[in-house]
Amino acid sequence: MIEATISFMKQYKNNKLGLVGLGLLIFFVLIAVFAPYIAPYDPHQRFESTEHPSSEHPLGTNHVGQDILSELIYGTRVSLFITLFASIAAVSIGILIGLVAGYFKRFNFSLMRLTDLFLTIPKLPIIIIIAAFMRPSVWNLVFVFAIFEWAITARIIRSEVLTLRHRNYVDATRLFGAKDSYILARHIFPYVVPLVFVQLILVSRYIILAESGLSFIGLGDPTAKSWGMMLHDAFVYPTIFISDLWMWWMLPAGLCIVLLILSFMFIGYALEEIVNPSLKRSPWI
Amino acid sequence: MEKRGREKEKMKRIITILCLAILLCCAFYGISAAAGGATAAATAENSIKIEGGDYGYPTPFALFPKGPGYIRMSFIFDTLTWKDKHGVIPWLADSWSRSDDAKTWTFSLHRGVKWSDGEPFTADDVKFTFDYTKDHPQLWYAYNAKEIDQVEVPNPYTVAIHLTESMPTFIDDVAGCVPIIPEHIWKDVDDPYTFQEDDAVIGTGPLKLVEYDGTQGYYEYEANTECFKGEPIVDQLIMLDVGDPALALMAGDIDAASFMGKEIVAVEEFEDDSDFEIEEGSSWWVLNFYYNVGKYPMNNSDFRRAIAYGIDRADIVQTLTQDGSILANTGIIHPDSTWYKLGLPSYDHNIAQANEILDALNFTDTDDDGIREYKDEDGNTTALKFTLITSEEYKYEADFIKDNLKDLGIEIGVKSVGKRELGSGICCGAFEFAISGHGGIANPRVLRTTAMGTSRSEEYYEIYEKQLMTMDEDRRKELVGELQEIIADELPVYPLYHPKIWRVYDPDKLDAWFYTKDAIAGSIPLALNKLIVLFDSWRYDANEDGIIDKSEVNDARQDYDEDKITLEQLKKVLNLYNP
Repeated sequence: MIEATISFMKQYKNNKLGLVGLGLLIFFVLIAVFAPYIAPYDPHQRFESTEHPSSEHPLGTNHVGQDILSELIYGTRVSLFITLFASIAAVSIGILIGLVAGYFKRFNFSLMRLTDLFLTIPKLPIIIIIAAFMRPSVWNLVFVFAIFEWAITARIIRSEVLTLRHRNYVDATRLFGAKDSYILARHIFPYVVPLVFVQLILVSRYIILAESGLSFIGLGDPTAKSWGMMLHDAFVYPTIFISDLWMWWMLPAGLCIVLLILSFMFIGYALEEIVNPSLKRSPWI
Repeated sequence: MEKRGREKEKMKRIITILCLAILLCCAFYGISAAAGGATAAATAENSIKIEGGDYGYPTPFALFPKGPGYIRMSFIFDTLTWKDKHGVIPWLADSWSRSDDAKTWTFSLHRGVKWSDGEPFTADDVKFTFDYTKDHPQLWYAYNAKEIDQVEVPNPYTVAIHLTESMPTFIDDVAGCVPIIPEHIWKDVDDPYTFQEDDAVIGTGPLKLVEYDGTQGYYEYEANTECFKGEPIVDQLIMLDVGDPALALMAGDIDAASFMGKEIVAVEEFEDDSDFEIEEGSSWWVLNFYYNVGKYPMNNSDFRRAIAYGIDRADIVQTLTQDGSILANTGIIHPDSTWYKLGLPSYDHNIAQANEILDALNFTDTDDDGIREYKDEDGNTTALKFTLITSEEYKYEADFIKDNLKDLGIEIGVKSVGKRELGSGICCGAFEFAISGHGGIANPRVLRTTAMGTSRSEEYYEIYEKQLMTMDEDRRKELVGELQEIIADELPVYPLYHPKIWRVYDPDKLDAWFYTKDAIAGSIPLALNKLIVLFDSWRYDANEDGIIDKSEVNDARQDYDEDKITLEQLKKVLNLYNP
């Protein structure tokens, strides 16, 4: 296991974009963790409203006089928190369904049809409808994303399990009378872990985008200041585009979203390549 | 084999070229269609464009029952009386009288009015309208059919409307709101709510509908040159959906736009711009802080007062709305309304007083956690922790109030809900505190249910019924004032602020914009009174003394010489000449 990790790290180290992505992610995680120490003010504290950037407020203040830089730093927490929880929840559901469907033949058909169903549903419209009906809160968002983001993971895990369950050592273990749960936990799950990581990253990428989108159209949790919610507040401000405000109110939040998504994408590509070398397509990735 | 390959290659090329050709055709068609649209709009001499939005087909039965929906309909359909900036004016009716008990209202109609299809308008149309709407309520003002007993037509230009009960407010509440529809069109219509033929928009009003596109929120009207009020001064009125009205106005896509409350920052952008003028009005709208008076301790008026003292309304008005609103009348009715009661308590921010009241109620912080506790009805000690529901739009107001009440030792959790849920929550009492608003505060009718459930609700309801039946306007004002006093004292709701409303416009295109006295049809705050498209001879009254004097007549003559006004319009001004 240790050897595998070392070889994995060696491979990852050679992937430049992967390193950039990882660096960005670590940067955002650090900001989120140490938000109270980094942010110059409490994001709810009020000053003069719609001030231009100054030494006191590097990104100015918003329409109720809250420091935008502090909002942005605390917003990292909210955005990452939702992404982390939702992607872990979604991938966990995917793993469970993938393992069961791949290993137990009798569940295969029904679970895969269910997966197909979730794969074919246009996700974003459904998520918008559900979010509009439910009371907007962070946990509801996590719940909605978890429900709709597991299907691809389930498919990928299942196909991996299908090849693993006929390996000789698995058959041998079964001959020695090992229980299914033991085989799944000891001999199958460890081999799908790399795939799980790739999925976590890929799902996160989607969730951060969807969360920002939902918050932007006003369906997020209005009491949690995520980046999407900042964009929303800025966007409904009447003079956002006829004055310079958008430059320090909208742009930074938008850039943060873009950078975080990019970091997830770079990491995702790098991981995919290591896990599945046949994907090595073009030299610059 | 090779030949086949070459043919395949050839086919591919042909298909590619075909696709390209189709694409190009589409592109050119798009461009030419857009250009055609532009020239069509430009041919009209005086075309006014304003912000649109879909509010339904503009008939009294298919409109969306909201202010802008009624406005879109009112350009086409007329009422017996109308309003200008000073109050009620004759419209389809030249004059009217009421019986002493206000049960019979007699209107003499303007002669020579024609429907836009050429048919004459008569008293039968009025009778038909009231009879027809008994079975098919109109969507804007669904007045109680029981209120109207029968409509008599003694001659083609007189209508007598008999009511089942006295109704001193008939002009404001019915005659000035109910659009008259043509009998010869609607008598055969069984389902007026789906009737959307061209005939459905035949009216007597100053404009005629040319095009309506709901999905685009697009309305196009042209002048009704046969309008009995004279030829309109605009040839075309277009309402089109624009994403950001301020941007569209600056870009010249529209000629006028409306802004309200917090949008003051957009209005300020136009203040120093000589190309635009700004008209300020009242929105007849109030944002309220609701208490659930059915629950303890919110059913205690002292507790409600303590909270009122604790909320810093002035800070909300100043910081959150950037002075785009005014402090609300604690009696709800808008200060610009005829019915406003001056001098009600304003509950200025006073933490000491609020704390005193809470202490006197024995709501004290017994466990030193910064939050007061109270004994509920079962004798259990409960902390003063409440949930405040509001919609996303007012989350910052909620935040401010949360901070304010924290200083009193009351903890508030803010929950944001959808607008519909908010409305139904307040309606059914499924809340503790709520922030929400409503319009129509120019008309005492809005006060009907406000103080229900408070300790003085019986007295309140009696006064409400009494004022409805009061003939003498001064006496009625006193009674409406008493209602406001009770609200301000009992505080079933705590009114926070009244937003201001602005019309920013390009005066070169049209400068007749004004705000209607006590709102259009009793509640619509918009400056879109149909009078703006008609010639107003009073606009020559430069010093606004109510007299057109010699120099003012000369101004009109000069405008006539310069072809700015027609002979007919000049005559109208001369008619007002008072040497």
